[in-house]
Amino acid sequence: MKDKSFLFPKKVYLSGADWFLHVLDNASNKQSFDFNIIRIVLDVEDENYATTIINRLKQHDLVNWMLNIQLKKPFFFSKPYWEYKNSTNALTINYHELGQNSLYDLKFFQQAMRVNKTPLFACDCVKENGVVSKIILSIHHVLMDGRGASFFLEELHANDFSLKDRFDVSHYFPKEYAPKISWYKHVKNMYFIKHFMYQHQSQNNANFNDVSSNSFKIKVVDFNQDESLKINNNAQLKGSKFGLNQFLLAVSIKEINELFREKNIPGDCWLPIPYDGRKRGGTGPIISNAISFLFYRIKHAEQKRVEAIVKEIQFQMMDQLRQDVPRKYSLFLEMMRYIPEKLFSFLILRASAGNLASFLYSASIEQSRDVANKFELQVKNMCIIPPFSSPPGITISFLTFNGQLSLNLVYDEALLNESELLAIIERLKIKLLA
Amino acid sequence: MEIEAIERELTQFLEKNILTENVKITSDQELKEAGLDSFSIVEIILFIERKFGFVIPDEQLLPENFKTIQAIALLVHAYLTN
Repeated sequence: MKDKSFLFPKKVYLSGADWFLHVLDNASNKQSFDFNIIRIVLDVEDENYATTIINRLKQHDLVNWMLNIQLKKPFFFSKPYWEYKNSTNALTINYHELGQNSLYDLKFFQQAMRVNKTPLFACDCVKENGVVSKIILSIHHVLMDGRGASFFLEELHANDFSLKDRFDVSHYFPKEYAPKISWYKHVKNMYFIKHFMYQHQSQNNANFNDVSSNSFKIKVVDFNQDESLKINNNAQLKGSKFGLNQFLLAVSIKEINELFREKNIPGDCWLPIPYDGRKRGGTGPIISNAISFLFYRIKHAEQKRVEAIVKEIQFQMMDQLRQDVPRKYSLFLEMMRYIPEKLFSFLILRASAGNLASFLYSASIEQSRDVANKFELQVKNMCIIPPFSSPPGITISFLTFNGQLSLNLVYDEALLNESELLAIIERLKIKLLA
Repeated sequence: MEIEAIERELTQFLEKNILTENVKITSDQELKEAGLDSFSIVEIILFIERKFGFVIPDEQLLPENFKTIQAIALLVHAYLTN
């Protein structure tokens, strides 16, 4: 591989959301933050595909960059950034034999990634009877969000990957956010956010914060094409006007609130939902969490019909977009990069009183079609396992790939046992397919 | 206001605020194809509220009304003329 380190920016500043995730992870739970990892599972149907992807990963400039960076947070009033070190760490592919295990019971899924201690990108291959059947890419969430991960996949599968020697890496990295606004406006914005969050967080939020073992499990449920179609139709019937996502979220909220009631946990669901801050139609940036959040509070969700929850979600979404909450929240997070980590951490914990979310939810509904259809080198099937975080200890995510929906759950074993989980999945299926 | 003028306003809004630099969109192109997602549709609805001064009623928030710029312009035009 040619050394193209001269192409990389000397400093890649963390976005407000990157830094927020990092500080939040450190502040909320010392043990669980090492598992804030996005895992992409690619199905391999022929050996050529596996060889090509592995070769591309080994050649990829961005992989090289991710393996050789260090987080720096120098002084007060300076922003944290990634610094590229000399190109010493090369990608190691780890091979595992599936044997009698189920895929997600393999030990490497429990392997941590530590900022500044271990590489923040890894590749594992799972073999069945000596032949590679899955490729698993693991990326620390502080480096990249789900949308960035799907851009990265597009890069890996692009037709022209090996045809040109790439010297344009500009779409890998975020442009530094530099709004020309005064500190006065920053402070005014901070008070808007403070007031907004106070209204949302001061109420009784249901959560699993008291139960945390930091031992997690992964469960993936695939829906077939007919079921996926039925769920799509149901979303429309239940009033989900802006796509499938609000319906899936409503069903998840209802189910989780029912779980709270079963476990005698009082309060209502409160959850932040990622809002992609990128302009649409582009191919980057790949690096950084270019996200802000929308915040939903659904009262007595267990007693409501799914239609009513969908309606409330849509109302709250439009109301917050009308108030420009995602942009203002982003601006607030950008500002918080300047203050010392410990102070930021203290403020987060004080403001949230340890109540960060009832559960975590993400949906990659409108992503990754390109990887399936656009390129010569195609993914047959894939799954994105969301990061594990405790608290809140349960993450639900949905992915549509090639017209088929999958439900991916990552949960703390202290919250749910196997039979409880299966019961939840059954109830989710009933609600989605009703 | 003519339909073409509404289309122009919508195109300008999308190219300036929603789409990445240098991405152009035609009025009959499917918005999904251009990379727009559900949040972008909500942004368009809010733009219509601000620019044309009316709220699209719930029963008109249908996928077919937000498929292309042309379809949205027709919807807006119908409201403005009524």
